[in-house]
Amino acid sequence: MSGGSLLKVLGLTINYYTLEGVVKAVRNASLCVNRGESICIVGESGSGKSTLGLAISLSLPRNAVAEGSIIYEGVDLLKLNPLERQKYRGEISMVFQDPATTFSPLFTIGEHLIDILRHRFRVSRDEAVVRARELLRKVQLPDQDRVLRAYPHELSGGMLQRAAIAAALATDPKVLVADEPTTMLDVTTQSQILELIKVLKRELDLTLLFITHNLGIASEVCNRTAVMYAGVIVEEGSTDEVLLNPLHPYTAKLVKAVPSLTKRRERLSHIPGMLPDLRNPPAGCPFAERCEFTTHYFDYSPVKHVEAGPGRRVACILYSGVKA
Amino acid sequence: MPISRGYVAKRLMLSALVILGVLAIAFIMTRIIPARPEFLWAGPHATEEQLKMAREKLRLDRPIYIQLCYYLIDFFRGDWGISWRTRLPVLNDLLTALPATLELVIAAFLLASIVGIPLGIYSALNYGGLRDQVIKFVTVLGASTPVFWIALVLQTALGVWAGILPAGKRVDDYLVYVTGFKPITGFYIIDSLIQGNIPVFLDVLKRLLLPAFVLSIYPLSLSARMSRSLMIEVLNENFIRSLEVWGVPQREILFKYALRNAIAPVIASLGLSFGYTLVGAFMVELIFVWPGLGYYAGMALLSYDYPAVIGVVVLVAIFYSAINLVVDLVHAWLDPRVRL
Repeated sequence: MSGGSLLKVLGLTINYYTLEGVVKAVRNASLCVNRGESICIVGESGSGKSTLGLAISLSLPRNAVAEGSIIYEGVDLLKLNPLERQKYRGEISMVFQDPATTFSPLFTIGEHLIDILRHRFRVSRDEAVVRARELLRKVQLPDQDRVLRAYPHELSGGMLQRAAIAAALATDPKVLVADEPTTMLDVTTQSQILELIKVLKRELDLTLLFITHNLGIASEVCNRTAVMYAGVIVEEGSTDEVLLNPLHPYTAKLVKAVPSLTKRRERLSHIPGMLPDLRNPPAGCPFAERCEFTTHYFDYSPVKHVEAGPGRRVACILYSGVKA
Repeated sequence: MPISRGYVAKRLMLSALVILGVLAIAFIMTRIIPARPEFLWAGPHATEEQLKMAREKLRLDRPIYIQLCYYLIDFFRGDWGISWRTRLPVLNDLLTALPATLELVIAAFLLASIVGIPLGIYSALNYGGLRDQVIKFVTVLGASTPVFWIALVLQTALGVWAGILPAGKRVDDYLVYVTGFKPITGFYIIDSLIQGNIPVFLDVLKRLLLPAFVLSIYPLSLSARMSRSLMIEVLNENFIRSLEVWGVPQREILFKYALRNAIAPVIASLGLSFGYTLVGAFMVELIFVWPGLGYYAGMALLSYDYPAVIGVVVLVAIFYSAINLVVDLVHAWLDPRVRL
């Protein structure tokens, strides 16, 4: 299963240039993904987790500028020219949040799959149809021929997400980035899709980068978890440790905010305050404004990541004294 | 193609109702205008007796609804009345004039879609750039300038001052006489090609160019502006990004997936602009002495030629309904989500 790092994100900063100003979506993010592992990126909306996923799968929008490096099998993906980038597209594939808009509404699922296969493997149309059918079988869609002929609006959300997973796997990827693939689905379908992703990960020996805001899903799917807040990775470690023994105050609050089915509480706990404006993020800890440990004489200089155990990192001033 | 079997039949029946309504309105409107058409029919030196006979012959002495009934009965027998101006059956006049208009309108629409849509797409692909700004400006200008004004300006500039293009008429009479050109279908472009008559073909083409271009300016600008904004919208859709991630090359994403999404609504709106263009055609025909429906209708209006006016109105209504049906079918064919 494991074997060295496959993907290394080093000091990645991503800025969106918009009419309202420069949005600093990801700031100085570093992440190491080992071959065959599944890692979760957890954070609330606007924390930059999707942007990080898009950057890794080489599909940042045109108005985004990325600095730093994303090293995949020794190659810095950010330094590729468009032609080389096309070669790496599909190596790192992606499943998206909303299955209803993942496919073009005017073309059949088959047409999408065939085009992906034709360009990736230079196979004939007929060969592509055979492979497409095989892919749909792999994602456990019944009646593959009907699905191939179906237009996106003719399939349910769950079926569409399965088809989208088939499309993502059509490129025979080594890394699969799944950007909240279950958020738009209802609960029973969610668990089926999660199960499918887990099975496929094992069968195809995929390296999985799972983006979610749902800590429950994180604990179910991934062995490692990185928590993002306001464009910064604030904590990273094995999923169990991060969830059971959170070091960063933000993670701790996040874990407490998860509603429990068994324990009945008076009030759901929440985190007071709002995300900082990413056009002008605070220089120091982005969570300082909402953090209960913030004091009047708080140090607003940038926070450094602190190693807090094997494979465990945290960016919080509380721990800077532990091991500087 | 999700078009149910009964749909076309239902649409045709609805169209028939619409046309009937248009016919009735046109008939009543022409009759309630305070004019004395019997003077036209009987001639300038008619006696009181002759005028009375004319009124009886034209059934102007009967109530409007009786007149309408007579007209409808004749209409369905294929007798659309006698033109009070040309003294020929209106239907014959219309069928002679129709090809001239159709040639003009079809040329204009071909120009509008062949130039307009690529222009809009090109503009969208250069979104925000200088070329995009220029195209945007020109098309706003094109969509908002009155047709007759452009027609007069271009006719004067290109036809009269510069003398590059002929300023009017469908074909040079002298050339027709010399080469022995005979209209068959009434579409001179097709006729001259069938007969292998290259000089006439070139002359017809040259004369068609200016009025067709003038007429195409509005639908061209419209289709360019629409395909531009739709393409920009489509390029921001999620499926563009997912196809990109899955390794489909940029040009295929653009020219296969994005394009079809962008132009399906453009084609629908082009169909709707057909009505406006026909009205434009009437003015362009009057300016370019083009012997089509518009010219005929203009002359008919100026001489209180009611049967001819009603005939033109009904014919336009028929065409308008037909085009809209075709547009809806094409739209359904392009977009599987449309259910008819």
